[in-house]
Amino acid sequence: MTPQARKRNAPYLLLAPAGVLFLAIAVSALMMVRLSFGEKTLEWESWTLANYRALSEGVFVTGFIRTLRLAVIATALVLLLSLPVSLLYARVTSRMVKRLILFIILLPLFINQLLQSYGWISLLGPTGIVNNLLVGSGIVARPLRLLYTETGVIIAMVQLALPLAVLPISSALRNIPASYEEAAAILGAPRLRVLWEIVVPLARPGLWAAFLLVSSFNISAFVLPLLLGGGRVTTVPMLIREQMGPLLNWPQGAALAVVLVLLTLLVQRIAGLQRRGGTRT
Amino acid sequence: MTVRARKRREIAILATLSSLIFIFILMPIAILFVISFTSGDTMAFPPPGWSLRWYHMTFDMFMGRQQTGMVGNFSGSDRFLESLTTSIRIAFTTMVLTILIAIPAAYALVRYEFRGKGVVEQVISFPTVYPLVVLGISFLILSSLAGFTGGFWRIVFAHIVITVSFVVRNCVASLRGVSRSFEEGAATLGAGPVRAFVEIVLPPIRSGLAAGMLLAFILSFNEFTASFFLYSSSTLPFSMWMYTQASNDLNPVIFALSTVFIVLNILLILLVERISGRDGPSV
Repeated sequence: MTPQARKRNAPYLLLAPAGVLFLAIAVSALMMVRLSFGEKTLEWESWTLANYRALSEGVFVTGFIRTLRLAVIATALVLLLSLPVSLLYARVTSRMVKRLILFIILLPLFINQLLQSYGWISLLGPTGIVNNLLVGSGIVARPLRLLYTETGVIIAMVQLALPLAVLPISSALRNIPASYEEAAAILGAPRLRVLWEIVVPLARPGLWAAFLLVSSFNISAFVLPLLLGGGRVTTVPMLIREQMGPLLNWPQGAALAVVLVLLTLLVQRIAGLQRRGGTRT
Repeated sequence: MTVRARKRREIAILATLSSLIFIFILMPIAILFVISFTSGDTMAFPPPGWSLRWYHMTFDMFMGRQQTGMVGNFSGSDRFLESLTTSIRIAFTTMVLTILIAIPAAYALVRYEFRGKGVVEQVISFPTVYPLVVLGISFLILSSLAGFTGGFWRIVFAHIVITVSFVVRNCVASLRGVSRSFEEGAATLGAGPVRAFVEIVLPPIRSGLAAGMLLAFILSFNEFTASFFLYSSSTLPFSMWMYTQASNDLNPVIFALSTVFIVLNILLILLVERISGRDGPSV
């Protein structure tokens, strides 16, 4: 091989191990798609659209709507709550404080979601701290049902997904020159208006990046509905689990999974388009 | 009000709001810690009293001692140590293989311009949004089609997929800090590309790589969703052991165990932060 040719091929050779890995993902995804057109018990010999037709049944439709509803509410709350934290993280100059914030923010990301769910089970239960506080302070007369409801799952989703939003938003905020805000402030604009009309629009690329990560996370959330839903919060991942496990209808599970991937790709597309639109302004 | 006073007040408001949010974020972790010291048999809050009994039990489990006086259906040390070793083996294998895939890939992305580079970059970051449920069942489908039913390798493969984007990004960040001219110097002096890489490029990025590897280890050890679909009866990861136990009976020993693992986890994260230097892990 000539040195030139070697140089030309080098990056591909270096990427080969990663290539094998992504090939495995692609093959497994294709197999899943193939299976979704198969018939139960005759998985690989038959071709049918029955599994996709079945998606219009009540259980599945409710499941899709529930998944989207939970994801939309949780994602909106995450973006809202991550704003003050991101602003603080972008403004603070002390390195110590910055590291502390980063550490707190990253913690839920690296600790087993299962263990955190046990924490939520205890917090949200009828004798948990949340209900004790609510009843004790007289806000409610008797314990609220939070555990094994959608509300409980949403609360935990917000907690687990918040870290995903803070990093992209704060890195976008850091790129906004302080002079813009100062100018607006000198011209007498109230703080919230500056925030809403100058900071948020300029941080748009970061917000959309956060939206992408958080909504993908929420749409495909598995551990939380499994543990905190108590079998009642049947989102699409729960339906998939039911088909793959107890019902042993793998083709139906595969069809649901295909739709879940399409949903994720749709979200990605929206976020991608919006992000590009954001940088243009 | 002057601009500076305004700024200070603003930071104060942000700090107050953020502290409330931090409390919210840390609450489920903190509550495990508090309840693990209960003297009661349930996870009621506030605990009726304080004791270390659940930690005694946890300690016995680590020592492999059979449990006496178990609460409910808890079958104690049954397969506990085994699942722990399984998870450590999975996490270690994942860590080593991920870094072996990530280093050359990151090197190609940093040092070369080539056709399709943009696509490669996009593909490598794709797993961060690929649903873990889908990863789990598609690997399950593939492995059962291939007649491959051992849990170990299919979990390892899934975990490599999960960790590889993080680790590549981490390696790219480290490699950017190494000037190309050092390697060119080495090449001029007659060192081959491999030798130049090992002797010139690797030493300054050692700590960055170590941080990336630890990150992969932590992510793999704590992973639940993909393992849920891919484990087999002979390969039971710790998360799955915990899940099975707690589904039978969620009692305070689970909280004590969780606390032990969270503390170990935090120590590892601090280690990552420490070795990766200033800005913490580049996630």
